Amino acid sequence: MMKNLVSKTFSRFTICCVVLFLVSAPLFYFVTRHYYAEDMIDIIEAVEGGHGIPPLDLERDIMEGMMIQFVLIFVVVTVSLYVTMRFVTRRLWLPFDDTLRKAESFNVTQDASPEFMPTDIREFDRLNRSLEKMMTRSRETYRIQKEFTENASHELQTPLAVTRSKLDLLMQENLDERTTAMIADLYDLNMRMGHLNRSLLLLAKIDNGQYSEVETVDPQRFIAERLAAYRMLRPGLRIDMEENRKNPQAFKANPILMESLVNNLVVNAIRHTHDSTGRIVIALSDEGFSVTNPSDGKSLDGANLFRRFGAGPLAKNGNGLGLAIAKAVCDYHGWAIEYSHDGSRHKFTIRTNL
Amino acid sequence: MKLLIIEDEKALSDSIVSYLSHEEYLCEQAFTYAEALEKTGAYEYDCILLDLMLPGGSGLDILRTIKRGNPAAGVVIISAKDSIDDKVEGLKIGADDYLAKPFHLPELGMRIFALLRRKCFSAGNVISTGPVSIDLLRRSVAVGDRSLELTKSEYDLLLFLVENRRRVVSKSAVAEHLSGDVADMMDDFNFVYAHVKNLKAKLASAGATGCIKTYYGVGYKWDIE
Repeated sequence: MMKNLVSKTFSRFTICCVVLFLVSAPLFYFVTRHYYAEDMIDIIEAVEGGHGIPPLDLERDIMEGMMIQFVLIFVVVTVSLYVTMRFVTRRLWLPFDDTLRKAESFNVTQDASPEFMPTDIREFDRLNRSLEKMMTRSRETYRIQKEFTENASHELQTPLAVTRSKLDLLMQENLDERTTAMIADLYDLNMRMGHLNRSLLLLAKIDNGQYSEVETVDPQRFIAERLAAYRMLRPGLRIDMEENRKNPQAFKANPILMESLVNNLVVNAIRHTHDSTGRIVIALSDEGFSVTNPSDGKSLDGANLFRRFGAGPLAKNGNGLGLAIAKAVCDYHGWAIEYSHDGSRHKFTIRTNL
Repeated sequence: MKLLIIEDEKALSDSIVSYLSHEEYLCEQAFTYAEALEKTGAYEYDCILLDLMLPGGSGLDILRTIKRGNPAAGVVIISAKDSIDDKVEGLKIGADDYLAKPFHLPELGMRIFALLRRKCFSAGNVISTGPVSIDLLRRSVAVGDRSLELTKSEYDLLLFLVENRRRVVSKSAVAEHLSGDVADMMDDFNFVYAHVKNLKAKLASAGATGCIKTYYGVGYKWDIE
């Protein structure tokens, strides 16, 4: 049986009042007898004893009695109001608190909408129902959006492949310099689109939780295996790994995501190192690892650094998704990623040991 | 060598045929699941390129059928669905290689080449082109009878160019071949230029000049018989 909040509160208050009045009945009796009915008792005793009626100030007695009753009733009502508000209502609002807590911690990425505490109060029930509907809908929208990104990226792969293959063929023709330059531009664009698409696909797959397999990864070996490939990207640039761990430990990670994380951080560092005598350092520590590269003195915008396309219109410099991917990989594994700048070097720190 | 290209996107299939027909390959095409089953059932191929998403059925089923009928056939999966599960499943059933779309035609050429070489031991382990000979087993290179000291990336670069000889290979194809996925995170592929320059210098010092032709901005060609 559903009730609305006002009548439910009112009925609780009435019950509380009645109980308090019953409990305080002896007090009423005592007060009435000693301060209010005491003149009446005097008169009855005097009449029974054959004496005359004692002198009375009727007006004063009535006023006194009224005040005493007012005060008593006021006290009882106030106490019952306080008790209802303080203790009874808290129980009454318990489902509301529960709903509020669950709504606050709600996240569109979770698998199921939260179960709310059952309630017989009409308003709360309505609130729960509409929240449930909203949560289900936003989870659904989120899921569709995730799937859409993934499907769209898949569908784009084939046209990209066709374009690239045609460009590969076109290059075989005897072309003049102007046409060659145009093909070179188209090829670059095709590569950029391909990379963008692959990045979006990777992000969508991380969001969709498709990298659940984890392996034990030894960061020292993992990075050492890739150093040669990194060094090849910029002949002459120094890329070193430093081992600063006191007790080297392997950790659990998905190897594909781990590779993507390290690649993104190191290639980012290579891309943004303009001084060919500079040095990129990948340092392992007991907390995790860090990648540092020389900077031109300016710190990066830490707030937008890890957002998708957060770097703004720097389109040519990467696709704006590298650090977003790094962040997504860290979030996925429960690691922390931080950026810092010490005046001469950019530093990205991954803490795997949280 | 007989090749079958199972790919529903006609434009892509035609590109592959056009690029590969430079070699002594005989290419046939299948565009649907049914057509693929029919052709693989009726003829023997040395190498089959297989798209996993086909109208009418799954490429993995075709792979199973191929492997039942002719386990020796080499299969390269080309798929838009760059999913690890499909890759693992495909390789488990018996595919020899896996190439995600979009790919570079020279890379595909290289993979097919490597696969056929593994399949037919008679093909020999030394590739000779002009004065340059490459011993694939020992990973050594010689110009005439002078052996050449190459770094790993120079060797890979040389092999890539030689196996795609007489065709222009794009800078980005080289970049991706040398460094894998890492390459396309770079803004440009100028690092390829440095490696080509080093290789050219080493070849020249051993007396093999003019083997690598540079198409400025686009790519490179191994231009010697």
